[in-house]
Amino acid sequence: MSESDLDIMEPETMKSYIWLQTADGSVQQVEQEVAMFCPMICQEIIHKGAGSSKNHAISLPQRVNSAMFSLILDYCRFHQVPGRSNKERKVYDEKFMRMETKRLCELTSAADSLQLKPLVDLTSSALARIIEGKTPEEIRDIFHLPDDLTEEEKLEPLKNTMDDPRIRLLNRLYAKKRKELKERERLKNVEVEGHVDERSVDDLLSFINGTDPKVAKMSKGKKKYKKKKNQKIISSNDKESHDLHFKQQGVEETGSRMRDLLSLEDEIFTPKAGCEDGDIDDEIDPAMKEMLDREVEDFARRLNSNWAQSLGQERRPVHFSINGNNGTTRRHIGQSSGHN
Amino acid sequence: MDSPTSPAQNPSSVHAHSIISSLLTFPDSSPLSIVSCFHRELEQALASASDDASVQERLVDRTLQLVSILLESTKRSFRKRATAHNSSSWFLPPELTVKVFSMVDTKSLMRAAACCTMFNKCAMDRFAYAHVDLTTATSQVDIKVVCNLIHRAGKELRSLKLGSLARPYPSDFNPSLVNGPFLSTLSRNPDFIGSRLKSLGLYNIRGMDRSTSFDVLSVCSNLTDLRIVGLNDPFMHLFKILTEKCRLIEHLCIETSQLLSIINTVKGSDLIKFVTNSPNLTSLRLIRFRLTDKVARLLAQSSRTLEYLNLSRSSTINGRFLRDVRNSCKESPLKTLIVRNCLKLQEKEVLELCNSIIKGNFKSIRHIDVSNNRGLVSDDGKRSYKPKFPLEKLKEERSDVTLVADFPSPWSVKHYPVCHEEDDEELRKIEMMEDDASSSDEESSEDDLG
Repeated sequence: MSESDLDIMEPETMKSYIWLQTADGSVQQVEQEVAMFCPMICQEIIHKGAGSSKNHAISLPQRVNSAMFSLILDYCRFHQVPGRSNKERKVYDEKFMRMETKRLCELTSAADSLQLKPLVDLTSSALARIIEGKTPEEIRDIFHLPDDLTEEEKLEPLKNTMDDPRIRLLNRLYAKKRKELKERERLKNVEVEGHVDERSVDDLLSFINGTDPKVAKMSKGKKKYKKKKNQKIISSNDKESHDLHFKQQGVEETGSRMRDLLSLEDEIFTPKAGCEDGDIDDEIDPAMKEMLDREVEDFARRLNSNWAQSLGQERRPVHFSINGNNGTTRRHIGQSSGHN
Repeated sequence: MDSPTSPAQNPSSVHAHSIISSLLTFPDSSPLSIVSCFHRELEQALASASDDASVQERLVDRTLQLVSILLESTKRSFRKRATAHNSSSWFLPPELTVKVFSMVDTKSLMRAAACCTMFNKCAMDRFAYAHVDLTTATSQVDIKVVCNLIHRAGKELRSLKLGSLARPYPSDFNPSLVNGPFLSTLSRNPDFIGSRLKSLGLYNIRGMDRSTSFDVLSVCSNLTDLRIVGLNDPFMHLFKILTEKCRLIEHLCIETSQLLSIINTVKGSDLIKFVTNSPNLTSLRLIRFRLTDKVARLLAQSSRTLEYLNLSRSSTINGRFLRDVRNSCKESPLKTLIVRNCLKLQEKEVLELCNSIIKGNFKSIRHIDVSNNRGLVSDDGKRSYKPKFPLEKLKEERSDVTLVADFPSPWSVKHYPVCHEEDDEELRKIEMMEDDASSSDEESSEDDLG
């Protein structure tokens, strides 16, 4: 008798459950109202009728593992109750968002795959608050991202490759450089190679840079300067790096304040100093080959021939960057030629 | 550590390969021994060419070159690996990363862009610039930067905040920072797609006292949210522009930095016209406006959509408008009325308001805030810090109405009373903004006609 009573009672008190399977294989039963809070699950139930039994469990997207899923379920369970005030929900959300950053990221992507928009917004804004006000070093630390930007890339986050005035400036700089080159051809005959070369390159650089502090920095120490000169030669063999070099100068001239905006912290300042020492990198392999193959006889001659050669090569990279959409295109050029 | 000097191509490159591979697989003996070995070899080579200084120099230079080439190359490999690691280990799909970036203020966005290539790429995306907030980087923001950012955002720009939340000192005048004349050029800037802009915030921007300063609003026809802090005289033409061009405004918040002249119905006709004719205006905040009670009444009554009215720090309101408001405001949807820190607000007016609400008038109201750091004006002209409001009865009769009447005693630290849930941090800061000249409303208006 009690059994039959129970039988009669059960259907009324029993909630309907949905079966869900997470990415790592565990199958769970979840109350229907809670599960229906997620649009994706909702769709699965309605359109495909899945989830009614253990064998036909709805399989959740890959990004949802069981830990995340239980978090999401807690969230849904709280919020799907209609009777809560806005304040209560806010308080709950605040508490809910207190977890370590890695879990927050996982939760965001899990919520996104379940199309649970309110939770996605919540977690995104929590992540945004984490990023806000931190230096790049700190951000890298928090998210465990190794640094893979070159120094000048760090300095130019506001760079815009579609800038027309800068292309014009570049052309003007090329013209100036050609003039300088002709001058150096004349001076090349003097055998006091180091001294003469330094001066002419120095002049050239100060001319391009147009700012005194840079000149002062660059003229510090001959040996240090020679190293810089070496690197400039290496880089001048490379299309992209030379392009970058000019672009950097162009940016400096037209938007030095822009860089000020970006070089706010000391961490960025030190790479800046380092950058001025070793301006560009990339594309060393072909350069290295050339260096190894050539006779190391006359430095001045090679310097001049390199400038001339690179001037001939420069024109092309400019067109590449005009046609390219953004920095990534240029980077592809660099990487593809690096594979040669 | 010597390199081949023969000009032939193939043997030298093969030789180079073998040298380099043997270098890379060099047994892991202490770096000191490698260094000393290298040093010895170099010294030997230099010694063998000891008669020719130029040869020595060349040797040293070439070695330097080689070594730096190797260093650069290794760095590059490291970077490639780091990039690959980043793209595989980062949890969010790029769209979500961009979304997170769009919620961050612009200075932090630039810093995030300097973290790694993946972040850099996401930070260049247009959607990351949907909400440009430059209030955290005032000293570095100049016109070029703003133009650049606007160009980057293109048609995705939804909200723009310029200026600084802290009042600038008159001494730091920098002509290239964002100022009034620049704003007027924005309307002619082809990159600035004002019709897509939803929210605009201008905080303490200098030089906004010309008639052209608000031209930028004339291109922002879909603006729903406008905040201007530090408004100066003359400004009534602002409301003219708003009435004509920004018909979709829903939230308006204006705070003035100077003590403007008293705004009566004649002077404030543009303002009243705007509030009356604005079809979507739901919240209006006029902080430190010296409005007369008549104007306040008109503001509260004339809009069919206004739900939130905040007239705090108005030193000319004495509360009479509250009488009229509750009587004639039958269909008005006004839910929240805030008159914080209004110096001349009279206790008896608030009392009458309470009684009237208890009786059942003013059906729509839900929240009233009359808190004041200096108390209310009592009947005998003195300041009253503990007025007797029928709070229990209010709770009984109209349990959905909250009356906030916080009067911290003069010896306690001034604290800001509990705010309405709609007020965020920024709005609270705006309300509490002080002049640099440190003449707060209270002191200067004591000299005024009482």
